[in-house]
Order: sequence, then structure tokens, then C-alpha cells
Amino acid sequence: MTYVSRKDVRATEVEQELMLHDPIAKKVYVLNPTARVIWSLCDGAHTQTQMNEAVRSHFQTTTLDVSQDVQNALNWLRDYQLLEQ
Amino acid sequence: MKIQKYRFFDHYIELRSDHAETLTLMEAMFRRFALTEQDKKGDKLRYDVLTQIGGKSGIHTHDFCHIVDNTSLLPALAHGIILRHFLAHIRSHLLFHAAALSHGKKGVIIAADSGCGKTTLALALVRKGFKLLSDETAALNLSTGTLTPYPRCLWIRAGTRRVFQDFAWDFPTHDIAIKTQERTAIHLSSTLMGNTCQPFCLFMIQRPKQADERLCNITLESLPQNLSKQLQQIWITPPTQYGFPTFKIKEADLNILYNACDAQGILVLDVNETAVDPTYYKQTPQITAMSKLTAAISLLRYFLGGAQSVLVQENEQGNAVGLIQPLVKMLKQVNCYQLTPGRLDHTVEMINDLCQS
Repeated sequence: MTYVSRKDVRATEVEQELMLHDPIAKKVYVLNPTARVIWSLCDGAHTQTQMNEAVRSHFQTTTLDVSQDVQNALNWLRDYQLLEQ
Repeated sequence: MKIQKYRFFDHYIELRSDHAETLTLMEAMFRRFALTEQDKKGDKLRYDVLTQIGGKSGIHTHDFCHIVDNTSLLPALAHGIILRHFLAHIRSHLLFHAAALSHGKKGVIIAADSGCGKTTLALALVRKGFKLLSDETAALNLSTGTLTPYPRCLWIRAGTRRVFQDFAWDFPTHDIAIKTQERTAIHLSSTLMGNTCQPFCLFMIQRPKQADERLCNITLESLPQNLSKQLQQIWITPPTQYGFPTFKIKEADLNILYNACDAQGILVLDVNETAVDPTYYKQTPQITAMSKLTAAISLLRYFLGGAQSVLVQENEQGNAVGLIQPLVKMLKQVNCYQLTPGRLDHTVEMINDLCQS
């Protein structure tokens, strides 16, 4: 399964963080560096397994918690309706 | 009829009134903004506050007129309406509900909700050697990023006096402008007032958890049916049946109230917030560093221009989100912290130490 970010959500880079603006909900969100990587992979071309690997590689970590972090971030993006249905 | 003129950033206002109490209040609060003849640069906003309009009083600007039935309310209403109106027209500065001080050439901004101790902390810092730019409005120049003074009088509540008494501290040198039952307006000595400076530290005061449930007593000038339906979802107690409609809401719902009243042109006469429980200030103060983006978004919550601000209306996104990036840019060299206040003397020492570094 892959994930796709909503096209109408505006993403703005600010230093190491990414700000997302949802114009429909009229809310802004701040993504930390991990969530930022995951957001960039919500392009319809990456599975969750591929995201786990990408995060491990990006942060050069072998920690087993990566998959939980990725799952948490995807749940969060889904809960706040920032992904396409 | 008398005319009083004041400079506020890129505008100057001309207040014409035949109501002595209104003129006295405005003079007491804004005497340090008095316009000189050489200083008439910028756009002019004119306000007429008159009492002889068919037996009633009225507040007029170029784009609206508000009739006031009860002339005794005129000074407070005029102040509130004029303030909100000209703040929305300011283009040169971003204005926030925050205290601003200077330590040498370093500016300090302290943002907090009403009743959380901004004025008390500001006065305690002045006592420590800081200079005051404002106890309630931090003005950031959009072109230069500098912090500009906003030397309105300080409104001192009984709680502030009690805290100073507890520490056996004298108040910084001041003179009294207005005294009411609940509060006293003072002007600090000019030697204690600061000048334009570069911001160095921003402190966002952490609301105590119980503040999420803080209640406010609200008084409106009237409550038409449409507004009543909207506000039913937020009032804790239904409005009183006599006099001006008065009811309680949670502090967290204040924005809903203001937006609903703005939309229907109904004035909010009074918002009386309960002060924070004093035991909150007996703990050890703590600070946590904040990212620029988080600090900018948090600070935006205190933006004074409101949805009607020209800066919001005219930015490409048409909403306050368009202010975040300019604000982040201005905070680039600013150390941003979340501050959980505690004992006032320890909090002052902590801020002082950070400003020395």
C-alpha cells in the first residue's frame, strides 16, 4: 500500500522543519525531521516498508523503533486528513 | 470640541471630541505618543467621539459609525474601538500582545495570555535593570526586524502589588495616571524606558494546565437572536436577563466570541479573565528551547491586528498564515524559549542570565 499527500496542502520549509498549511481546515502543522522525510515519500510510489528503509538510511540509524515512528507519523497524517483518501 | 493627536508607527491619529472624560482617558494612556508638528508623516486616521447626536453619543471613523446609548461607557468604548481600528491599519509593524524590554542593546519579548503575569514580570525585570518598551504590546518593525517602543501606560492590578509586597520590593519610579477600583494606570519614569533595539530573546510563557479551563466573564452591548444562537455553544452560564448581557465562557473560546461578535458588529464591552492561581508561581521556573517555526506560530496567536489587519487582508494567502514566514525571518537571530514561570525572583534571574550570554 502506498500513501499520497493532498495536493492542496501547502508545504513550506523552515530550517529543519516543514510547515504544512491545510487551507480547508485552516490549520498549520509543523513536521519534525522524521515526519518531513515521511511526508516527502507520500508520493504514491513508496510503501511503508520502503519508508522504514528510507528513514533508517536518512538518519543512519539501525534502531528497531523506526518502523513504529513511521507508523505513528502515517497515523498522524491520516488522522489530520492530510493524505488523499 | 478638542483635538488630540498621537503617532502610532506608520500612522497618526486625530481624535476630535467634546467628551472630557474620553479625552482625559486617551491623554492619560497615550501621552507619550503625542504628535509633534514636525512628526506628521504617515497616513492619518481621524476619529470623532461626540455626545450631541440626537441626544446620544457616537464614535465615528471614516468607515463606520457606532452609536452609544450610555454616555458613561463612552471613554472605554472609544478607547477599545479606536485601538482595534488603528491597529488593523498598521503596515510597518507586526504587533503582538506581549511585553517588550531591553537589556543594553538586546531586546526581550515575553508573550503570555492576560492574567499570566506579564506586567508583574516586566516590572520585576525593570527593577533588575532592564528598560521597558511596553508591558503589553511588542512591536516588530517589518523592514528592520527591530523592536520598537510602545510606551502606553501600565495597568497595575492588585495581584501585581501583592507580589511586590511579598518580596518587599519597591515599585520602579512612576507617576499615577488613572486610579480605578480594580486597577491603577502608571507611567514609569522616562529613565526606565527603553529605545528601539534588536530582539535577542523571545519567551513564550507556558500556560498552566488549569488555565485551559480558565473562565472569563463577558459583557456585550447587546445580544441579537442570531448571535445568541452562535454563542449558545460556548457559554457556560446563560446571559443575564437585565442590563447588558453578561455570561461566562472558557478563555479558550474567546476567539469564537470575538469572531461571532465582529461578524455581527456587536461590541464586546468587557472581558474579565480570572487571574492565574498564585501557587503556579511558587515552583522552579524552567525553560525549553523552541524552534523558530514553532516560536513564530506560537507568537502569531498573540497578533494584535486581527483578521481585519491590512497585513492579513492583503497578503497573498489572505490569512494570517502568510505572516509566518516574515516572522520566522525576523526571529532568525533570536533565541526562542518556552518558559514555565515560577518564583518571580528566580524567573527574573533566569532571564537576566540568558540576556548576559
